[in-house]
Amino acid sequence: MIRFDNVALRYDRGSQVLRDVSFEVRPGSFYFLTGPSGAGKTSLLRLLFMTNKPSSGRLQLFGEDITDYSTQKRAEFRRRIGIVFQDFRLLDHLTTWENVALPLRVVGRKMSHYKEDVTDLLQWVGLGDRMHAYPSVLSGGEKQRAAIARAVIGKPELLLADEPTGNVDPAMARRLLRLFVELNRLGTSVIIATHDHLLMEQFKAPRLQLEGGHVSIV
Amino acid sequence: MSQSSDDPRYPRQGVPKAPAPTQRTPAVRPFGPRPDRADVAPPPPRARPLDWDDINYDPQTTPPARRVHQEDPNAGYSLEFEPSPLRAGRPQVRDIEPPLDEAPLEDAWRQVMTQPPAQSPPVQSLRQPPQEHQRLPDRQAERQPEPRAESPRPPEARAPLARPHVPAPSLDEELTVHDRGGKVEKGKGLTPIVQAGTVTGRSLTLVIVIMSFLACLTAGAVYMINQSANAWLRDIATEVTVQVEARDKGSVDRTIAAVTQFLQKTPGVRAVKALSEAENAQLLEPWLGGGLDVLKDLPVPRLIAIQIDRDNPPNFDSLRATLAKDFKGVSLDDHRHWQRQIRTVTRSFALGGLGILMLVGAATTAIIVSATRSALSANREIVEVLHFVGATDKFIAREFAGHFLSLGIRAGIVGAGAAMALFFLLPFGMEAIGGGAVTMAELRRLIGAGTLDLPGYLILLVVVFVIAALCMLTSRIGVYRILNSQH
Repeated sequence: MIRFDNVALRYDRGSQVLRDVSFEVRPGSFYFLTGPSGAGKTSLLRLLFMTNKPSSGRLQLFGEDITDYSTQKRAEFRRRIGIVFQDFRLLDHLTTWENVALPLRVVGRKMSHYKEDVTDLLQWVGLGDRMHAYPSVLSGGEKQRAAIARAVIGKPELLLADEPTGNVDPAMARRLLRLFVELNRLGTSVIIATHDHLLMEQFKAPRLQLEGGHVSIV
Repeated sequence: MSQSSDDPRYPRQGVPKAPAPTQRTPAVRPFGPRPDRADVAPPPPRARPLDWDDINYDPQTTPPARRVHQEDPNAGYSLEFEPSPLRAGRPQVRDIEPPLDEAPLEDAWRQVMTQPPAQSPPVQSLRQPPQEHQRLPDRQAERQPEPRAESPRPPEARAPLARPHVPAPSLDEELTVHDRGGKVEKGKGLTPIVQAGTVTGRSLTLVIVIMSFLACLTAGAVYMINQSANAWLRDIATEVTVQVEARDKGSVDRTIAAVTQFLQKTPGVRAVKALSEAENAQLLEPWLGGGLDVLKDLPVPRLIAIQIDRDNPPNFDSLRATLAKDFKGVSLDDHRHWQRQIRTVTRSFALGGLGILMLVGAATTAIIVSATRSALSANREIVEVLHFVGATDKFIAREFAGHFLSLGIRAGIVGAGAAMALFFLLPFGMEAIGGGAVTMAELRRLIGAGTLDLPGYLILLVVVFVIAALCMLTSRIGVYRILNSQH
């Protein structure tokens, strides 16, 4: 599903963030991406989410080379990937329901076709009674769950989460982890970038350890 | 209240049945032995305690997912792993009251999560997954036998299933399924992804209104002058004039009579009218003042007006030569000179109007480009999120262009309405300003009635559409270019 071959990343004239990174993620697997702050976790996720292009090396996603891509190709790939940001990235002027429905809206599906799917998903993540609320009145945990619902509503083949538990208490973090495990059980590959050891101890999944720009699987 | 232990599909192997609980368990339980089980018989011996490793999905170490659910809820351990609608159909460990419509929710989610992603090509793995992966649900295979129900689904699809009551997942309150407000309000439209207020402000609307007004004013004025010029040309083309030089009065009268007689016999001539001295004076009155006394001392030529048959006009060159040869001091004016001059003036006005329209268009384009840049900047976060959820540049450009199209139509209509009102009130305005009957007559001769006819008003509507299209296309292209430059 994901293959890094000697991938390096350098931002403009800055220091090299990733060096000679090579690893492979198989379909249906669950990985933690960990490492100290500034190790390049977010940069690696940005490569996977095609926000940045590698400075060198070869990067494959879903069996296709994404070292270089067009904007159209990028949009097509992103529809197969769900991403959860640490800062949620919910649109404040849309309701929770509309935020979750956004990925389906941008692909041109009619509201009557996905209305119940979105409602059911929101109920499943425990936001059934908050679906008409705006993000500004949601708690951190509710926002995070809305962000996760938005990431999975399109039934992605790959789910990327950048510090998904960074803004919630440990109990909520544990519940969110369960959501990710549930999705993984359905076949979605999951990569969670985190430095929360407590979270990683709760679920024994292999870890992609980032340090000094290199990745090792622990 | 465990259903899993009685489910014949998933027989529990090697785990002795524990006595039924005597007390209802709380919704949230910590790890470890359950305190409320202190009076219950101790759990049977286990090979090893169950912990998070049991739901590890590492290909090398992960046991089958179902094993989690085969655990005895009375064994003194709680996984706290909320069974969700995603796992519908599997034996589940539950110990709190279910939500009211939990069963249909499971069905709904089985449909939601087992439908293949729209327009997503199948995953091409780098290599065959190891044997351990075989137990993972094959998404493609699972999706085939359970086709998605037509949306909106029929009511019976969400009706509770006729099966034993299945308790709800053991989650705490926050993740408990609620059904309140679970419906999207019928008839309520979706909020625009890009808010209109962040794209088109009042100032921009005012500027486009002014541009539309100026464009409509220019187009209307050019049309009006063009119509008047056409009317002049029509009048001029149906009449020619014979001038008889001023000599002594007797000979002039004789010449006029002879020429009139000759012209009446000429083919292509419908009517001949010799203008009297009084009529001559009336024509010259605006320039020379009134009264015949003024003309008596001036050698003013006498005129003979000839109405010609436009379908069968006479040969003007031949007629001119004959008159010059047979009658002394008589010449023919076929008004070609005036026609040329009128056409030149009309074209000048049209070109001037076109130039003004182009300037207005260029200014509108520049304003829209600037507004598009500002709108994209103001909505940068929204654009980012749209990109993250898979929106194409085309979709984003369409979102912005829609607002600019709406702006163009609204502002265009207001501007055109103002221009229409001006054209409608122009004759009354001219009269109110004053200037006398002569001035009014000259103005009418110059610009016609001073108001637009139906085709003229239709031209103003065309201007509205052009302004709206200009706004939409400019913003669309602008968004494309800006997004491309950012990639």
